[in-house]
Amino acid sequence: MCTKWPGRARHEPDHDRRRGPAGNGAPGDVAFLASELMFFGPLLLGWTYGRISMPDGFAWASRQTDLWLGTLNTAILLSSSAAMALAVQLSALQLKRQVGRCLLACAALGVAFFLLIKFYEWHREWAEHLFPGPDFAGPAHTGAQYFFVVYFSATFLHAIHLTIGIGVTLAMWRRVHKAMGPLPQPALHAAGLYWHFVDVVWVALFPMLYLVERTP
Amino acid sequence: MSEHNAARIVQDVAKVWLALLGLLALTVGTALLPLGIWNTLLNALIALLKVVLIGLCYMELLRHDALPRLMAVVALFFFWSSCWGRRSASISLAASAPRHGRRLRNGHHCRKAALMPPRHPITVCLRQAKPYAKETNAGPSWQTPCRLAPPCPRSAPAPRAR
Repeated sequence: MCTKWPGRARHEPDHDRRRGPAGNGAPGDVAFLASELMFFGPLLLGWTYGRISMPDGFAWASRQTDLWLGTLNTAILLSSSAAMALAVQLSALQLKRQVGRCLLACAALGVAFFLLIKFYEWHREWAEHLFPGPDFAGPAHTGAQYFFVVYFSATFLHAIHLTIGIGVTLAMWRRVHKAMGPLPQPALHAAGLYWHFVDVVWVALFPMLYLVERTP
Repeated sequence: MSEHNAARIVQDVAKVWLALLGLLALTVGTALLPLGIWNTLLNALIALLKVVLIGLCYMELLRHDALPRLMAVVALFFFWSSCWGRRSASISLAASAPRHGRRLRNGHHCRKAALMPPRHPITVCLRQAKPYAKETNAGPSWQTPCRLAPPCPRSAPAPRAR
């Protein structure tokens, strides 16, 4: 038994393997994430419409995106997701220092993904006049502009979600860092669910935006 | 005991992480191969695999009660169907195209559609080569105008018997 907090085993987590650490908060978390998917629904529908009705323009436009930067972004986001999963699962063992480190690594990878790579990518596309508008450098009336409307909307919306996720992760790190008692497992689990949701959205967006007819 | 558990957790998470990175490499690798319609299907399948891995191993959806699990599955179903559902509809449309090509608006018969994989099921014959095809310099075979293809012998009317 733990001496600091009576009635609670220090290294024996109250983690029911069957019900999970989230307890009764889980349905609310999942319902929230399911409603969050609706943000991306119209964009995805717009993409499928364009892909079917304007395939030539979409293929041309997709080839203008940077495949390797997109792949690097995906790898970084998958790694951050692994760090978050590690933090959530280690929190069941009340390993405060390790959980804090994993949360920091997750936020740092998110910042690297978003701030460095994504901004650089947007900057390059802006410089190449690929942003939809009167200065658009691509072919007119083929759907290429439409693709970039979807591309910038989807990546911007994803970036907003990622920024929120970074904020939530840092808040969780602060909470873990200052925690005097047991780690806040349900809150950590909810933060983890949100981060993985952002990851899942990017996993779906990546082939849609970067891998359309890449065959040389 | 907790160190042993922690090591096991790290090992499990690392395995899934490596699997996800491997699937990512596979997606990018197959996207560069000329597989025609299989590129799209493989991308969708691999992305679905990645989502299932994340859902089961990282989000631990199996450890939840039935209600959140059901909600997650329904949400993912709608998400995925909006992503790929209409795409697969276009694939099935192409698959149901006649084997010996399509009749064009000008009365000619496009034989190319029968010879090549249906990468552009709707545009192959009904649309003409776009002006920007020269700009992209991609030069896929479908850009050769189908309308100039000779009429399919099978579609030509049989000579009258004298």
